[in-house]
Amino acid sequence: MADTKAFVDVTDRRVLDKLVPVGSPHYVQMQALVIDIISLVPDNKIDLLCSISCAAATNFQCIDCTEIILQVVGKGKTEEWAVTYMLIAFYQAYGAVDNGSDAWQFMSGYLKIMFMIAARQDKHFAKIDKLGVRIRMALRPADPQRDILNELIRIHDQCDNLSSCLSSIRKYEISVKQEEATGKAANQYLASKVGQIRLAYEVVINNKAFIGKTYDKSAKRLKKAQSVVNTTTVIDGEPLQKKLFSTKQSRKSTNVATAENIADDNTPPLLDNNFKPIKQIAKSSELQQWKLKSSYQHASRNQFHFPTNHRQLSITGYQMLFSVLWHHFLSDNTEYQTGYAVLLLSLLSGISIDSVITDWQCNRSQRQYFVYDRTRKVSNIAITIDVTTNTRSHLLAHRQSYGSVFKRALPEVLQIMLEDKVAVSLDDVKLAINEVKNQLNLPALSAQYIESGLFVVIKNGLSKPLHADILTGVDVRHSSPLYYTSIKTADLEQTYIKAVALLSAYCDDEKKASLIDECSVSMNGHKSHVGSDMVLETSTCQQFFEQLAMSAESYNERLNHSIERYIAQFNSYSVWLWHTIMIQTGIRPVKHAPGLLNQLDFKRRLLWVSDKEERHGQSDGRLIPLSQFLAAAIQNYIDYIKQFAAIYNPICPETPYPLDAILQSEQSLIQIYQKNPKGFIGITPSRVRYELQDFFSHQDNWLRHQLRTMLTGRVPDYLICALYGHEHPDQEFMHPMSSSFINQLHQLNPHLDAIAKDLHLKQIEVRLYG
Amino acid sequence: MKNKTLRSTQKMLVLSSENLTIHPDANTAFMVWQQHRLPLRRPQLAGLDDYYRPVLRLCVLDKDNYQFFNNFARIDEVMRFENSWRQPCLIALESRHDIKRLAWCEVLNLSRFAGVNHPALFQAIYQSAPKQLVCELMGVHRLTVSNYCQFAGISRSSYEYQQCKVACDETLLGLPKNMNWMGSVHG
Repeated sequence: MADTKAFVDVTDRRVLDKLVPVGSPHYVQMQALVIDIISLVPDNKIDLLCSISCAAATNFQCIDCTEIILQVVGKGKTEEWAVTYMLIAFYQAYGAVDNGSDAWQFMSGYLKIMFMIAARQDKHFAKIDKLGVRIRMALRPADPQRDILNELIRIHDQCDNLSSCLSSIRKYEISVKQEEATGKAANQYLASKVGQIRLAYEVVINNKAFIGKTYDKSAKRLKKAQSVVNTTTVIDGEPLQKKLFSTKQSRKSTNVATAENIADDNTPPLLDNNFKPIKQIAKSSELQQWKLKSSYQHASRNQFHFPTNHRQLSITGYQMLFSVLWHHFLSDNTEYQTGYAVLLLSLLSGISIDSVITDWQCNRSQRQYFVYDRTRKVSNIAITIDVTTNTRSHLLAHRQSYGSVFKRALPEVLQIMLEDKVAVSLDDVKLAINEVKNQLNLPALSAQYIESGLFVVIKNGLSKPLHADILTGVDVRHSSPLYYTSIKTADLEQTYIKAVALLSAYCDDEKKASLIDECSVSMNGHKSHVGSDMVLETSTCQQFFEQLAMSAESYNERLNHSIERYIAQFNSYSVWLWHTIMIQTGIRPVKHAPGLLNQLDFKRRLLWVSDKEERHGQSDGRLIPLSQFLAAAIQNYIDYIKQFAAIYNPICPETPYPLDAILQSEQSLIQIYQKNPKGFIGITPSRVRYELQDFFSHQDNWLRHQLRTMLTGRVPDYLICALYGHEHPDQEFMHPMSSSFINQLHQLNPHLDAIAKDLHLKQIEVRLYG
Repeated sequence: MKNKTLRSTQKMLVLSSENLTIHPDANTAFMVWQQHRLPLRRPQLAGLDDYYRPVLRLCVLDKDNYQFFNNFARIDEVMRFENSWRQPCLIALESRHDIKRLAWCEVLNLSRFAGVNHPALFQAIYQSAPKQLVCELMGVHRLTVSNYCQFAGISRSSYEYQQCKVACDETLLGLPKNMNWMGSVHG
């Protein structure tokens, strides 16, 4: 008997050593504490043999919590010492261990789960760190995961054993998931986190085995494709390595997602050319001409879709095509039906025929485009816009977009077809195309014409290029505006219904009415906006600017006889102006933005900027209209800096403010004072980030997202693209062959001023005296 | 030893915030003056012939750099609006005591303006000025509120009335150091 006791002692001791390793800070006390807490709530369902005497009452008061946390983080042992870290953080938040407190009773159960997982001696052990992280993060101020912790404490309080806790946690997870999926609550990624905790409980209570994750190749490839670094081409038997740097700036100085920068700066690699020039030509001007020519061809083939493009049908052509297809689909025998269905699906979704077929051949749950909705029991078209995800927890609740998936309804007949996975042969599709080709007498009709159908209808028929890109699932890398726009789902739904109405114009009235009716079912629940994850709600943005303005104005009449406050005032005014320029011009937050004083023309109200890497043979910046608000703000700032120099420079001649250089456009207009090394330097995004520090943090170019979103729908899209420099090669607003004129840019001005008004921007009055 | 700076000279100089600094001995007085000055516009002298502009007293720092120590309001104007005009200057000999005196004179002159915050000005003088020098300039033995009121030509009661109006200096300067402002609407 005594032997088994000893054996149990040994195993318990080993588990404890795993949870709180020997050598971790205060491990004796921590181990005692773990036992203390576990034995707080007796649970006979789970036979935890806690035989180690806990006579050594934990004297916890003498331990310095902050010091331990610093030690854990400083040594980089947050994983190994996860339990210590978690308990200390919990102790800081909830005070001494107390039998009556709900929080500690919860912790008792939670630790029990951790203990059991550690006792299993398998790969589940990694969950201990995960569980610790969940609690630690929940304890951070204003973290959305706080809700999880509160709910867990509540659940543990109400349930009398861990197995009933598990079922409550499951219910909680389902409700959170549902809310996030329908857009009832802002998606703060809580469901997956509750899922982690639920899984840990399941492992212990249901004794689940460990199943490793298998990564599929496609995800890996996608990641690789986004960071182009090296390409090797064999030219005349000689390998030539070409290095492509994704952006001009290093990762250190910018926090803008790489994909976003690439989409802006680099043209997508040409996909359809295997041209290998010989050595002599490779370095000649001929090659450059070839590059120009092929990029033009690429663009004209893939991007333009002008009404005159002969690789597409006219609107009437598509209307006739659709009515014939629809007629055949409804009346034909089942043999050909799948072929017609594929063509119709491609016309309604704008997705290529190949993708339609591959998707259809998958199980309902694995589909990418024709997604099955379990709660509504319908299939719908889901377009995912591949935007940069925002994982800053403090911002999650304030984002405008509810994810980046837009769903729309399909006609019921097609939904029924999509119920099961079907082996679709390409021959059926070809036969169907041939059939309509002959019937409509369109000898050139091919799959390509059908695939571009929806795009042409929306772009040329409804003239909504941005909606066309979104609804047909154009890759964001081919359409940068998609990165920046958070768009109303209602608008997209309207456009889709209009497109369906336009497409089905040649069907008979009954069919047309039912088609429109079936396609106009809203599938997006409460999701009011989809798209860019960086855009914040207008009210949050208003508050942000209000705080900046208050900060700059707070120094008025409070300047004392130390120069420090003058400098602080100067910095906060500069930061305010920088942000105001960003929201009013949408320029990229590059170093020294917006540049020199001579780039501003107050008379014509124009700003010349060059904020991206120059592409070969093309472009030296672009013109941006200055709104009345911004022009006034900059002029006020110039008045201010003259006064500031008259006070600052006589006092601190060792680090002078370069007023003359600024006014003569030798140094950037907005400067900022830094402490190390002391002195004024041109403003950079990282300086701004430093100034805002604890106040706010976001991706540097978030105001670019914000402005793009606020402009969308107010102004014609081509003007926004001109403002942002999001134009296809040779289609630039300022291209020599362009029919637009500079003054057209000024159409943007009233809208920019309206946005300033919407955001409650006001001219601030920063006074140096009086 | 031949030292040019010992001779006082007259010169026409183009002055701007780049070549003009405050004399170290007048620094405190200048800061106090800046803090309490009033945003008054003075008569514009731009159209005057060079020789008729008011003369500025300066010290030489090195070849092209000069130091000023009085006439702050005029210097401020020069630096902000007239930085491309020639100004008649009197390059003075350096006498630290006199420089201090002239500089604090400027601060004391502020008390003559209506609208100046007398309690704050008195506080600043009391805290940062050399007592003996100020007393000497004001012609009093001790620096007290009543002496100051007498000097400024205001009554004690109006001084105390202003004192009551002073708002407390407790509100936040600059940006908040946390993100709580963001949640205030959404709760």
